[in-house]
Amino acid sequence: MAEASSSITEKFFLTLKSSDGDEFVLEESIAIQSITIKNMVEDGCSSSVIPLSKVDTETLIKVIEYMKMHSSTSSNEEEIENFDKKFVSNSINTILNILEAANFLDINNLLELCAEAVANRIKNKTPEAVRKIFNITSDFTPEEEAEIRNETPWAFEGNLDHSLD
Amino acid sequence: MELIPSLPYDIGLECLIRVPYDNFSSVTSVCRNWKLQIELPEFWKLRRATGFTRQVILMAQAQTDDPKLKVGLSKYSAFPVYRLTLYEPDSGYWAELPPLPGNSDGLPMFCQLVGVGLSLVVIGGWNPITWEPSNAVFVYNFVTATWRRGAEMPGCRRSFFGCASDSEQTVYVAGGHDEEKNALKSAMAYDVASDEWVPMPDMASERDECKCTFYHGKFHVIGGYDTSMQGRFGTTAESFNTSTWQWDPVAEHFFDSATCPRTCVEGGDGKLYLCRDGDVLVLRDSTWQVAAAIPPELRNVAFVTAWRGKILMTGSMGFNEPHNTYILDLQNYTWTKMDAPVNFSGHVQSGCCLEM
Repeated sequence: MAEASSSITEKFFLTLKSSDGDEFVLEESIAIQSITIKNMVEDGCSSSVIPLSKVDTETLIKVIEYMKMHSSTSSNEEEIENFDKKFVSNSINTILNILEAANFLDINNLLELCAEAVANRIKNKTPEAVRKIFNITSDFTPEEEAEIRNETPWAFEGNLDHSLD
Repeated sequence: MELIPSLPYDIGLECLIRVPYDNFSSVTSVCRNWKLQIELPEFWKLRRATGFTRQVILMAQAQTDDPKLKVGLSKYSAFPVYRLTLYEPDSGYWAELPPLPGNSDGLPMFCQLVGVGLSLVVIGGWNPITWEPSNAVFVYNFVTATWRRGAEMPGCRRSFFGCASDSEQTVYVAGGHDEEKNALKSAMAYDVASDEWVPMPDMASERDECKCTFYHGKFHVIGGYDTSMQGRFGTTAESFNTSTWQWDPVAEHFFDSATCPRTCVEGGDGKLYLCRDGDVLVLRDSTWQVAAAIPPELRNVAFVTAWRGKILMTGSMGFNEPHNTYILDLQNYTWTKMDAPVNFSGHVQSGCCLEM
């Protein structure tokens, strides 16, 4: 019965509002990849605009792009794979913002994709490069720092990468 | 406590658990928070539970001479020098570990390797030049990528003992023989973190050249022989309950006939396996049943280890032949030959696997 009705009736749309006040209209079936939104819909809070106070416009655009590509009907596996590859090449700050949004919106596969992207930005980098990329201040004493620098790099790592991308 | 600025702690952790183990020594140098996090046993447990660990095999493996340098000489020497090698079955990666401190002549002969958490423990063995037995303990920490000297194994100088770890904290050692070739019934436990040895109650019988493994949650000491039997293997086994700190009654007919227990392993699937007469056997309803034939290239089985339903076996066709590495899938008993470069095709004396 559900099948019959969905094939003929109009699609349901939701309006998402970013923290910057911009509104985005999205098909409900796509938006409910977010468990947070899905719960709101089920609780009947979706008739009006859904405010996403923790997600800015730039990030929300990315998240919507992702959800559209990953909604089950519209894309094939190869397309999704290529999309994901390009998606994780966003700047690290964008990735971190999306990661936070994915956490808030509860979109598990987006969270996993971005966590993997962050791990890849850490892999095979020098400690100095990692600190710069993630804006981390070293809290080691100067003596400890010197020790880190003098330590022989371990057998398997080969050459560590100094680059910041 | 944020791990990555602006991200909630849990999400920072989601990122860090995805960084592979061979990056730990540099990642722990980023800041104190990261170092503390990565050194926590819970961090390793979380990585293991979420499937971000990798299986790593560590081996005491003979060096093979470069065939281009020594034309006409045998590549696989009868008195080889052993070193520690590392193999990742999933990525096919082979590497050599830094040498033990103060052991420039190579690894002690017949030393035992055990994995505990993110550490490799190397116990005992003979000096490769003088063949003098030693009770020395070395611990390699994969987080700091450094060796440390551990507390020596107490008591007489023990050779050909068995050992196994609960994989998280403690190494258990049992049997072997003393310097007069008397078989031993004593056993003891080594806590890697506190660097302390604790004596265990004696076993019911002496067990030289026994094999140890954890099986059904208990430390099992399998087979071996007493002093009077000199080299003729027995059929019994005993198990130790680490919570009650007591030995269970001896299993008299653990093997149906006299069997060298060297290749006996727990498959990571709750079952025991053994190589005998060209077959891999599985212990089912107290009897050893043929599970799979061993490939001809492994006719002389050198080393067997297992994890999560897979057995890794190294062996050769015969004397002076290269050693091959195969993996047996215990779900469907199919073999896969693994590629190994020439310099990783030497004889494997002992080894262990770690999930890192």
